[in-house]
Amino acid sequence: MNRKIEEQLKQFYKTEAAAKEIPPMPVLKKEKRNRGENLLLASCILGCLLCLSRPAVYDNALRQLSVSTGTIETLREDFSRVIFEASREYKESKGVYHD
Amino acid sequence: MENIRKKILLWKAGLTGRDTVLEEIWRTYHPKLQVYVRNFGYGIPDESDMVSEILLKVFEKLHSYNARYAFSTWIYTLARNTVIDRMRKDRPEQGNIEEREPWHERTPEALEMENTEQALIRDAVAELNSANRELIYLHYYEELGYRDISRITGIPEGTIKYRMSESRKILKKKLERSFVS
Repeated sequence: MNRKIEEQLKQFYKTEAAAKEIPPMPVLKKEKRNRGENLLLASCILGCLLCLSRPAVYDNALRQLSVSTGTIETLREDFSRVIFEASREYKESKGVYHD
Repeated sequence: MENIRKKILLWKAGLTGRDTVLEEIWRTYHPKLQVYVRNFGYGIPDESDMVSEILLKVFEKLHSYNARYAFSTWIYTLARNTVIDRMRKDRPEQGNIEEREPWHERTPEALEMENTEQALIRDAVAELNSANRELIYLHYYEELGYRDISRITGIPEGTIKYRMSESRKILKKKLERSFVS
């Protein structure tokens, strides 16, 4: 087919699509978290609260993992990791263990 | 790789939110699917509701999309099946979707406002039956190859080639005559 006609055809569809109105996207239900994600989220929240109320928990958690003092200092800078370890410590104290 | 496919991969890896991906799909494909659905000659003045229904189905099944394949192939397959199911349900007597149906029902005012070339091409495309309109749309607008079109429509590649050649002849004849006059 003539190249020009092909181009015109493509442009025709582009113009047709551009003329269409896009309705607003309906509000969708939030994605449901699974049980593991709920547990992790709850642990993180509790871990944060625990860390805020008892800062010594950081060091205890890390010492129990046989981490050197130098690493403890480094990890202190790494807040997310500290939160994770602290939440694990808390869960284990409550009898919840990783699979 | 398509932008949407990348975003779906990021979403599956937990690196971006689901809503970001869904909004992108909605914004990109809502207008395109309105034009695509019209190819079927379904006979409804506004395809918007049907397209919204299709996209909600797409969102529901998005987790089953395999990002190794083109997103456009997957979404058009789903759209096609949804339209055909709906047509069978609404009009059980119309088993053959290839029947020629009016493609556009536009008000005279809208037609008057429209660019002449656009109207000429619309008339030429309307000459084709709905199945061939669909092939022309997928090939020229979505730039899909015959293999991908075959995956979407379930029509063998050889048949697609033949139909495309027939449609080209009709379009060429009609458009060349129109542009000359």
